[in-house]
Amino acid sequence: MREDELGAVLGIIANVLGCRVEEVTADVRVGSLPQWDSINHMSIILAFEQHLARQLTSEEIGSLETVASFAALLARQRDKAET
Amino acid sequence: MAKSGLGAPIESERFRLVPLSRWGAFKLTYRWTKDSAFMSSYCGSGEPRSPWKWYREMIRPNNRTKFVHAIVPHGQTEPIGVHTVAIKPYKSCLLAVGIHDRNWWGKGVVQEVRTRAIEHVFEHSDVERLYAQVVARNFPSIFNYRKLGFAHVGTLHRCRIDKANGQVQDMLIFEMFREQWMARDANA
Repeated sequence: MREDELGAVLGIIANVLGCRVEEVTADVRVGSLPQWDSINHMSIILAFEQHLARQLTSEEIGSLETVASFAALLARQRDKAET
Repeated sequence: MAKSGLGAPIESERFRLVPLSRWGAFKLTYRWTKDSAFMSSYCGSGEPRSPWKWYREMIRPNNRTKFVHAIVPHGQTEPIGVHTVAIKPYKSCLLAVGIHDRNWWGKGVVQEVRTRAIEHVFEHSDVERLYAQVVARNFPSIFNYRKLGFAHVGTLHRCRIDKANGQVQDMLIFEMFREQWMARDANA
C-alpha cells in the first residue's frame, strides 16, 4: 500500500466523518468509529467512487471491510492503469 | 426446527418488537409499498404493487417458520418499520429489516433491533446460520451487516431488475454462523 493512496483514502473518510485525519488509520474497521454510521458509510463510498471516477463493482463493494481495503482498491486501479 | 418462542415479543433498549399476524403484517406494510424509495431499499424494487402482488411477495408470517415483528419505539404506538425472520433448511435463517419512518434513519435502529432479533433466534431455535441477500448498491444495509460481523460470501450477478427504473441489480450474500455470533458476544 502506497503512502499517497492511503493518504487519499484517509482524507476522504475523515472529510465525510468530520474528524481529524489522525483519527483514521489503515486498520480501522467499517463502522468502528462513532461517526461512521450507515448514512456516512454511503457518503464515504459515493465520495470514493467520485475519486475513482467510476462506480465500484459489486465484488469491490463487498470487499470493503477496513480503511486498508479502500486503499487496496486504489492500488489495484493504479496497477491496472500501469499495465 | 423453529420453537414456539420465536414468535414472542422482543424488547430492546428503545423498541418493542411486536409479532404480527399475516393480516396485520399485510395491513401495516401494504401502505408502505406506495413509497418507492423505501421499497427500493427494502425489497430491491420500487415498482408499484397491487394488494395481491404484495401479499404474494411479502414474508407471510405463519408463526412456525416465518415471523414478522413491527418495530415500535417505547412510548409510541405507531410502528416505524418491520423486522422479518424466515427459517430455512438447513438450520438457516434469512433476515430482513425495513425502517419506513425516515426520522429514524441513521439512528442505529437496525443495529439495535437486529442484535436483539439475532439473540432471540439463537435462543429459541436450533438455527446455526444467519444469512441475508442485499442489493449491491444498498450501502446502508451492507454497512449494517458488516458492523454486526457478517461476512460477504458471494455475489449473485444480474439476478434481478428494479422494474421502477429498469436497473439490473447484483445481490451480495452475507452470512454468519452461531459460533461466530457467540464469539462476538464473548469478545464484547
